[in-house]
Amino acid sequence: MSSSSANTVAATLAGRPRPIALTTAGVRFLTGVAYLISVLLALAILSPVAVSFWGAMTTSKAMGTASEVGPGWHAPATGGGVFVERTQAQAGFFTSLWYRYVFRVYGRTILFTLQLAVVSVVLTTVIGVAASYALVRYRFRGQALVEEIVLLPMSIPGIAVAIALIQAHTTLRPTWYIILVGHLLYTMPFMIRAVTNTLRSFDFIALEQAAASLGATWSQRMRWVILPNLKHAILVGSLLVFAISLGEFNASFLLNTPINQSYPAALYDTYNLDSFQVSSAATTIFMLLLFPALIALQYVGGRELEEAGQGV
Amino acid sequence: MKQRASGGLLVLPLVAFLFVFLLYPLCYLAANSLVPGGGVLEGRTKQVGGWSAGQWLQTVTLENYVKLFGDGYYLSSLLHSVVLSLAIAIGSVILCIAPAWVLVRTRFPGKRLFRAVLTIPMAFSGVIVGFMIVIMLGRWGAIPAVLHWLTGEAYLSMTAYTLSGLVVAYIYFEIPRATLTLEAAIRKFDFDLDAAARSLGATLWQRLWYVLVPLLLPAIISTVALAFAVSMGSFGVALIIAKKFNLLPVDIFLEITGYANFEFASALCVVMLVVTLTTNLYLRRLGEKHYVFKQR
Repeated sequence: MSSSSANTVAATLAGRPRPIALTTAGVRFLTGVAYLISVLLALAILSPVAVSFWGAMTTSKAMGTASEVGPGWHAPATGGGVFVERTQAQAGFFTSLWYRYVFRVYGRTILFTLQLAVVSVVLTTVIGVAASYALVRYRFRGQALVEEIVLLPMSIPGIAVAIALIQAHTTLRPTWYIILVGHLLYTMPFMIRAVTNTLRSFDFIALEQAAASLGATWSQRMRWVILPNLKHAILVGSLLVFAISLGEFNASFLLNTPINQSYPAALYDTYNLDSFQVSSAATTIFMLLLFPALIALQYVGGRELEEAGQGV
Repeated sequence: MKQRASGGLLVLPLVAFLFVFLLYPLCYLAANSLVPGGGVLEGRTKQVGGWSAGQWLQTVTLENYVKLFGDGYYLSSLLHSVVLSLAIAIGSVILCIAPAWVLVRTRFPGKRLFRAVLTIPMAFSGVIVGFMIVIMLGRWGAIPAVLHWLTGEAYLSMTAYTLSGLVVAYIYFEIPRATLTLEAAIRKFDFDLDAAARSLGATLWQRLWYVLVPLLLPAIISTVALAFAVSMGSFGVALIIAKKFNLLPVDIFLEITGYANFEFASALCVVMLVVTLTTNLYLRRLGEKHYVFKQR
């Protein structure tokens, strides 16, 4: 382009009004307000977390004394038992006594909850991926109904589902399977949503047909075409399922039995029975299990998380 | 085509699971709510689920529902639950437009971390939120303690056990749900429309009121519907801190743990399910009605 024509363009533009600014002072003000609210919300979320981490280790009596270490405590085989431990604990600034207490009393519960979460992840993956594939790939009667019913637990109170399950499946009541069922009902929607959203986002049928035309059998197509494309969705779904299962309380509280108790129910017990320090220690252990999953979700996340996260 | 038919069978495990563990129990719940109430107070405790179809037909009665609707206590619980949940749903959605907007429209370092922080309460069960509000605003919570250190007076002490404490706690765990849903909606919003309005001379309020709000309204309403359902069902918070308010989920819980009256608890559950689902459906319909453009 010659310089003369560039000059003509500049000359033409010079006579015109300047383009309208989209970001006016008002918009900047509103954005500032939005930032302020966001920061306040983040602070509101983090401050109780910080207080419980402090409380979990402190020997301070600022939030009430921790003189009572709850009824589940047994003196260690060696050493002077809980009274000596407590005296030692109250000497310094920080102590691990509360954590040791929680691990000793609720250790089994923590393992049980992890077991529940892992089994939920495996089962929702197996059942959910198969079902999502069928729901997106094929047309059959009642398809919309199935999708609607999978999502139903998201909008009905967990306690109602728990009471329904207890009454309808009395034989399962003493076992841990009934708790697992409750967890599966409330985590399945997340897996199904993550996988169906991904399946709907690209033309996997064309890929499958291409593979089939090259002579791939059904299992080969699954193994080499469909599942590799779903890897990311399954990862996001699994992390969501893990996080939700770990914290599930509404449905599982009534499904728990004294022997099989999920950790959130144990937390309820510590809040009712134990001191602030012990409750804090128990709460922070839960957070330490949960946070890696939540942070991993943000980093592997992306579109699946955005869409599956709706209705979390 | 043979293969097509067999492929569809992959959905069967899910259908079987949902049928056995969701639909059948819910039907059983409805049926059991029509059986005369047991419970230790009536002296009629019996084996849970101990009836056959024939027995059921002979004993079917509306006794539980008559008790439920005849007693002002349960009606007030229902009213409290619905009003509180609706108010919290609307409040949290209005509040969460700000972080959702920030997450979509601005760029800053550490955005993922900020998003992770906002999603923290997602997997917190209600009891944990209840505990947190107690350690922050309880009798000797962190905030009163700090205020006492600053001013010599423990302001805001015991707030956790009041209505405002309950509202704060409920909003706490609605934040991630509302933010994530609104964020997705704002991300889909076509900002060229805003630019067009501006170029036609619209002022800030006109751009907000005539362009942004009408287009985001369906998403806002469906977020309210979602948040409402979550608030209705979550009783962990109320279990810890609702000392002065009777809420329906807590009543159900007490009916089971206190009196073992499964039949009456079933009736309460049915009422709660009907109210939650109809409100949810109504809000979703309302949201769809407000679509300015047809969805894909």
